[in-house]
Amino acid sequence: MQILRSILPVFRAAVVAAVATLAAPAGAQAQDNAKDAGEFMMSLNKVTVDLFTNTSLDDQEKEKRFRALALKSFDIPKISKFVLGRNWRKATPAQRDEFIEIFGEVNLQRFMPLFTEYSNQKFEVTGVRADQDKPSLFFVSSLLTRPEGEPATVEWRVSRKGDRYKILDVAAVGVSMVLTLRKEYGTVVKKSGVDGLTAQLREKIRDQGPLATSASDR
Amino acid sequence: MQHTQRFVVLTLMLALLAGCANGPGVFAYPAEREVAAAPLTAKWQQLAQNEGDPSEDDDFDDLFPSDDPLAMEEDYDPLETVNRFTFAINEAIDFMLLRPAAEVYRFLLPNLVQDSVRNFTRNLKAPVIWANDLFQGKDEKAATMAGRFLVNSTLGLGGLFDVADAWWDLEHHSEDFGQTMGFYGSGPGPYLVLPLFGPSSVRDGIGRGVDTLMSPWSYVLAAADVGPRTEILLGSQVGGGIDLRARNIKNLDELRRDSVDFYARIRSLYLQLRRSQIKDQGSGDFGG
Repeated sequence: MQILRSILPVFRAAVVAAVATLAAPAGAQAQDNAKDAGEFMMSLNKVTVDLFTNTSLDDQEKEKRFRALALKSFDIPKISKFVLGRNWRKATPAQRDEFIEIFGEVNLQRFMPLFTEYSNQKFEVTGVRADQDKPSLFFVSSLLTRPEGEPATVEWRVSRKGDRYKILDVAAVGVSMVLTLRKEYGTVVKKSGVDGLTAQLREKIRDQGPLATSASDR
Repeated sequence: MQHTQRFVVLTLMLALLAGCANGPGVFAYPAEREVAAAPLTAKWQQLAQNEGDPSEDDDFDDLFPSDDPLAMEEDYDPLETVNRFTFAINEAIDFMLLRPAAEVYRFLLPNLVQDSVRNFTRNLKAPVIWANDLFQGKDEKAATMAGRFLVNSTLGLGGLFDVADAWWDLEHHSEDFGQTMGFYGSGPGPYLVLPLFGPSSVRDGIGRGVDTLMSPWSYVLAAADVGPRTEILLGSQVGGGIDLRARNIKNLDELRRDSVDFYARIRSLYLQLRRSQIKDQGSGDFGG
């Protein structure tokens, strides 16, 4: 009994130490990943600002490059699936492909002006945290300081696959972009089907004309 | 590692600036090394094929749990037909009256005056916000609001200047009886579009009524026997409305631009915003 009592604390300490050693690298790893997710957003911002303030490129070239950047940085296929919700399951592979294609363009039109404006905004990453249940999911908070108006807090949801990061969602004042689009597109699909939605989105894109010019108008 | 990356980035930036990039784009950033490899002509769907079926492993399950009412496929809107009609009328009024007024307001009045309009209407709302802070047991917020009201009504010349924020960091926040009901567990109920006031819900509509009754100003004006008190109260509301609209001209234009169902978009925005306001997450100031 006496022996047990003196061994027990040692044993306990050993267990604690073992757990600590096992947990430490994992914890550090998770922290590193979270840091990388923040770094991903900061560098994405930097590359975009550099791109749009680069005077030696014409608008067409800028659009081309932004497209390449967006392809790699936004998980459009995954967002497409979420946005179509239960209609995704009902859609044929051809309908899905067409939707992904057109939805990617919609997002390009939506985000390019936004990123263009970053050139005169200050973009700071204010915090990064990993999702509690899913270690490959990160929330990156950022602060946008505009020359006029109040600073805005924008939250990015970023997922990690291998050593690559992709944006899944953008949220501000508690409003999620993908959730809003899911609701909006849902009502359109209900009325006119996936094909109807795709057709309407296509029309929207055409109305706004070529990207490069609409961005430089601003 | 850091230094190497920085060097690579710097080199590539120089290459970019030198304009010697006709072929594939030369990008580099630390967290994503293969952006440079993205073909400039790639299609979204080609990417989808390379990435495999997005149906597998769903990150969105974690973002929006399935028991979350707002994440479900449709927003609760049993009065949709009536609401869409009211929405259309509000849109017409906005197009013909409110937006032009807001444009003129923004164009004619100096920023300082615009801020004073906002400060004044906010100050009128302070007693109601304070009461709702108290109803929710948020003592600190209530104290802030009381301080704001006292300071701004006096030193701020009747609320025209927000000196409480500028000098003592007493920041404005919004709170209303709809939020108080939400705080104690009430859901929004059916979505509602109110004439002139816009997006609301049964809960928030009732809240609006309670707030109006709670607001001391009509009683104060009556007691002081001021003549045109309806006009005064209405005037300050209209002023606040135009100011709010003027501050959101660009935001609303952008929201409308790529929407395929503006009504559904606004509905979803409203319901999400209200939820985050009730949880005190966002700093959104929807509806002033």
